[in-house]
Amino acid sequence: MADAVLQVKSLVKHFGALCATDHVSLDVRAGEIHALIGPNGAGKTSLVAQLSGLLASDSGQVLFMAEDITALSAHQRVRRGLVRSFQITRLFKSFSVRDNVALAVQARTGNPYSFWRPVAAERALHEEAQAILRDIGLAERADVLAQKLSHGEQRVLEVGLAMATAPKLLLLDEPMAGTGPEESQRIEALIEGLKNRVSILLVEHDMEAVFRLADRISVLVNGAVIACGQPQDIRHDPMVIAAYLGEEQSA
Amino acid sequence: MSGPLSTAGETKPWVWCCLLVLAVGLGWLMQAQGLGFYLSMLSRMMIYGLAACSLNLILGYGGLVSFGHAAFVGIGAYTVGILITEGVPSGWIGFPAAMLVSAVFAALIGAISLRTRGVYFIMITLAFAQMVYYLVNSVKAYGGDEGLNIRMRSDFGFGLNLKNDLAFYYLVLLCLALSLWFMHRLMHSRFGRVVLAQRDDDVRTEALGFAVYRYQMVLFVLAGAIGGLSGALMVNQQNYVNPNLMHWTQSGVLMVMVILGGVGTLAGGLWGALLLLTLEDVFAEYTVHWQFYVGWILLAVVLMAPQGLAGLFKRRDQEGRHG
Amino acid sequence: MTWILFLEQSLNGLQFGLMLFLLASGLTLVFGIMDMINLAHGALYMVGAFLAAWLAELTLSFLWGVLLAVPLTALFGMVLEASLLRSLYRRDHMSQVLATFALILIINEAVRMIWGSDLALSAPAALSGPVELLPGLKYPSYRLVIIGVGLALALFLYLLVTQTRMGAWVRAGASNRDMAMAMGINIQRLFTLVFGLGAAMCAVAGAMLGPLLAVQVGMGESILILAFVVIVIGGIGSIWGAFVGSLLVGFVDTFGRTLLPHLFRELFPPQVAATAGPAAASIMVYLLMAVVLFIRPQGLFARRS
Repeated sequence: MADAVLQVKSLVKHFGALCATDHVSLDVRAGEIHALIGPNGAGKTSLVAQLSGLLASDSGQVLFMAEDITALSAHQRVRRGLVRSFQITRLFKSFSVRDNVALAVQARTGNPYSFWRPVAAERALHEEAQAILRDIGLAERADVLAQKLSHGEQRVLEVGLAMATAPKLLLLDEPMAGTGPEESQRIEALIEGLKNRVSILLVEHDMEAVFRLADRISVLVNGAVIACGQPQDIRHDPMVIAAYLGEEQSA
Repeated sequence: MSGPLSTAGETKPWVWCCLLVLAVGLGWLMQAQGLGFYLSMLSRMMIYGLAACSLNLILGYGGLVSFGHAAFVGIGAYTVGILITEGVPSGWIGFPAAMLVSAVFAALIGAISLRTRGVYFIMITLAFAQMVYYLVNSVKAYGGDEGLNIRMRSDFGFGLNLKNDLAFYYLVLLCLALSLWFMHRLMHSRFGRVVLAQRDDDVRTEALGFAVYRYQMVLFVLAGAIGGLSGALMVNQQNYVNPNLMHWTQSGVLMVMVILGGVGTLAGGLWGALLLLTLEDVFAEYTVHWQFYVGWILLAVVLMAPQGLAGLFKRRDQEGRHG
Repeated sequence: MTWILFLEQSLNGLQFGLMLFLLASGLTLVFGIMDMINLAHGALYMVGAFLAAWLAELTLSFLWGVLLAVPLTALFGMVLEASLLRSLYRRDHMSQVLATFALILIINEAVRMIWGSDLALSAPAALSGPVELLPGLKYPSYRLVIIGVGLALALFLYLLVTQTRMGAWVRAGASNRDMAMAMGINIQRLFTLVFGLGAAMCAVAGAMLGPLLAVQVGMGESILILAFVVIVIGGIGSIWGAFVGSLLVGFVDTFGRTLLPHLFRELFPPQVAATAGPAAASIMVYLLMAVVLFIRPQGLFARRS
């Protein structure tokens, strides 16, 4: 597909006898929000780990911007614009909120091994960080230590940190996990705002948000993709309903 | 502005300048009062302080618990010692050589060790240090297990005689001040930020696009080089070096100094060294079993003051994580 | 290298390895269940040796010295655990290093204050002669006894861990402490007992190796390093790993010290061999650990989840 930013071809991963990823193939088109849903244990997290480069696949290929990145390490993928956020918040707890974002900006600008100049004096860096904080609504909390944020705010920062790397493709791993309604809305608005600017592969459990945001949805069950299509088609797909949505509706 | 090294919690530059001036004055005063012996003792403490501060780079700032740091101190000491023995007494060659050789060893050891994590990292750095210890121990040509005596101290020319207690003290002070200043600039730079970030969460740092392994390597080599510098000073101070300097228990002593003085603070290693060695000397006056009492004090510190001495003076809301 | 020499060295390797196992098993459990770096483990070994030497002197019997030293050291270990070490479990590794390092200083000096820097301990006279195992192979009977004791204790530990309820709890705790606690196992009390057992094993090793290696202050530090190497090779938390690791280290160290200098003398000029031989012998064990860690970073039989 000429349009595809990310192409996953028949990815396989076993953990002993367990098949976590069973010949998964999918693609993400430029500017689209492609959601990945599935019941717990479907293998979503291992898939994200493989795509982001933290876990090596047993076989299969991952193509990003038509380049084969299957063998590349995590930081190499980030450099090419493939960035992920984490389901369990990973922030720099001893840094301030602004410094967290500044680090992401630092990664893609200027001299990486600068030894001598004090970072605090880099105005451009901090201004850009502050601008990103305004975009994600954490501007007033800029000087607070990240560990002091509420859980919801941390989730917002988690997404913001990934956004700050200026990605071409964002892998969002359950960004709304454990957030209350207010923060969920904030994150949903953030994701919506990125539409058409950044391609997104969104892993989420919040079904309503998924159906609102996604251009296409892939359904992962027991490590395999059982359906892929537009939200309304997925909603009415009998296989999907049986395997997954049925659980949700009866809950 | 809060942050990993926020200026709010840090010691202000003018305080450091005052301390430096005091240190310079103190040395001159001690010499004038004929307290050359105590001046020499102070030099020794500062040299250990430098070694401990170099360990703090990787331990406190980097979050890498290396149990083999004493090896780099020893390597630096032996480099200078061997050069002097072989007729190359120039400090201008010896000191840079010490730092270079230590850096090379650090690069080799780091390249392998940094591929491991947690307790395995601790063990493998320990193993490498022990290997260096045994290797040096068996080289009879340079003293083997009896150690190496050097007949003269490093020669820097310009009429500088390092046998003079005050001159040597000023050399140590210079090295210490320059090293601390370098470490300060380093940790406040972009490089330093990445180091502190990977201490908090190395996976996230990698996920932002940083090649964490490379940063750890550079840090490890820098720490090794400064450790080598302290070794070069040490062999001069004692006119002697012994393989025991590289034994894992010595790495433990350095670690104790860092933890005592405050992990992850710029001069924590220095304060820890001053405290520990002073305690040792004081107790040694009264009893041959001074280690017993020092041990109890260390135990008390770890049980009651988790952040070390420097932590006692930090405000509560600036506490970072434990190492 | 003759057949006889090879067998003799193998027995030496086995003997050393088994004694190492006595130390390593306790250490791996402490590390595995409570995630605690205990540098003072070697001090228990030393205390056991000193107690055995002192009591052997008092009772004029090596056997009684050992038999009395073991429970006393176990008691000492349990008191240490309950009073000081317990407060370290929740702390980070660096605090544990500092605290147990301090303990080494305290215990070393305390021993020196009570007994002096070293004590004499000799093997019982009845065991001073060699035994002819095979025609031409004479082996010291005392060392055979060490091997016997070591194997017996290894078997005892195996039965304890696999056949008893306490053993099941230990295995559960070693692979997943939180789960074990959630299942209602009183991990605290279990742990004190395990620590006591570990201390007892250290005492046996200390007492038995005393006549061979000299009972002196500081003997703990040199063997502690090897014990750590063993548990890293074997995999932290795994007793079977400690067993395999101990034998591996025992053999490599023993053969390294006898074979390598020999080999170097054959291959290299004398000055080189004189230096390189002993050096290579000493570093063999560490090289082994580095290689294992390179191939299998968690150790051979890693258990912890």
